[in-house]
Amino acid sequence: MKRVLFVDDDQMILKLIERKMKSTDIKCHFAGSGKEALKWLKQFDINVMFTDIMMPDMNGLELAVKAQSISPNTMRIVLSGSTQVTAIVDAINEGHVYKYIVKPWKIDKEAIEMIEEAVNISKEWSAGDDVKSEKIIFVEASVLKKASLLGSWVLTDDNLSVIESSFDGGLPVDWRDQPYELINGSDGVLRLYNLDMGRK
Amino acid sequence: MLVYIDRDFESIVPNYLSHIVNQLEQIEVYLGNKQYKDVERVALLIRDSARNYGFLKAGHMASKISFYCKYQSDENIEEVIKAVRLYFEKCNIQYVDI
Repeated sequence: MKRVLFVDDDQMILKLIERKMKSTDIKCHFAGSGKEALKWLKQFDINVMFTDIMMPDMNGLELAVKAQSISPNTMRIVLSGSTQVTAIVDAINEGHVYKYIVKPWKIDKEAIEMIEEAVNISKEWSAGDDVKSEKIIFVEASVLKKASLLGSWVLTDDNLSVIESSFDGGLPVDWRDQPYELINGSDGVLRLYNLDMGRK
Repeated sequence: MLVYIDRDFESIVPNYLSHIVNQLEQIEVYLGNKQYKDVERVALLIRDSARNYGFLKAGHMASKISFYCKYQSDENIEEVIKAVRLYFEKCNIQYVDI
């Protein structure tokens, strides 16, 4: 079963998501706080967790860090109103998030396809430890464009440095010599793939 | 002032607007304490979220707050806070299919 957890302290946002997700075959869980989210993560095998960043008691990044230790195969996706570079970098470095989405989030056909894709990747991660170690950056292209980090889709030395710093030393020393490819996906998402892993 | 917002967000906009009211109050408290870094941080959050929702003029005004923070110009910041508050009070939201 595909299970997705949505975490937001705004109940109206959760209700909106619930309404939009009704037509899918994804089992959705909803939590109004980080604490509640952790309960769901302990209870069920959650494939993908969407979390707001700014929440009282426990913020989204703290939750993402805790979620990683409780349920390492759960894909962590952050929803935030902020498009500042520091917020994005923090989310990647601290929360090891799979994706950063700008709020308000329009849940249309493409968004549901993205959720499905995240669920599938999570299932692949669950299938084998070797795949789990793969490092991929998934950031909304629009966010990066706004941040002027990668305005054109060319990997200049500066851009490589930005990517490197985003991983906070998590990449192999010689990663620049490895066959990585930066792809501007048709869904508007920027991905950095390690082609050696054979998944593109 | 007429503002067009995606109909999908109709149910979440009222909460967003009350959140903005809180954030503006928060800015005023920070300003009173001369915490310009915090004023700027919250102003940038308003700027980003307002633009994301489609309140473009409010986003532009909020960016002015962060600009005036650099010069620690309390008077100008207060003026813009008033303008942002007035904008959200007076704007006529029309929900449209986008």
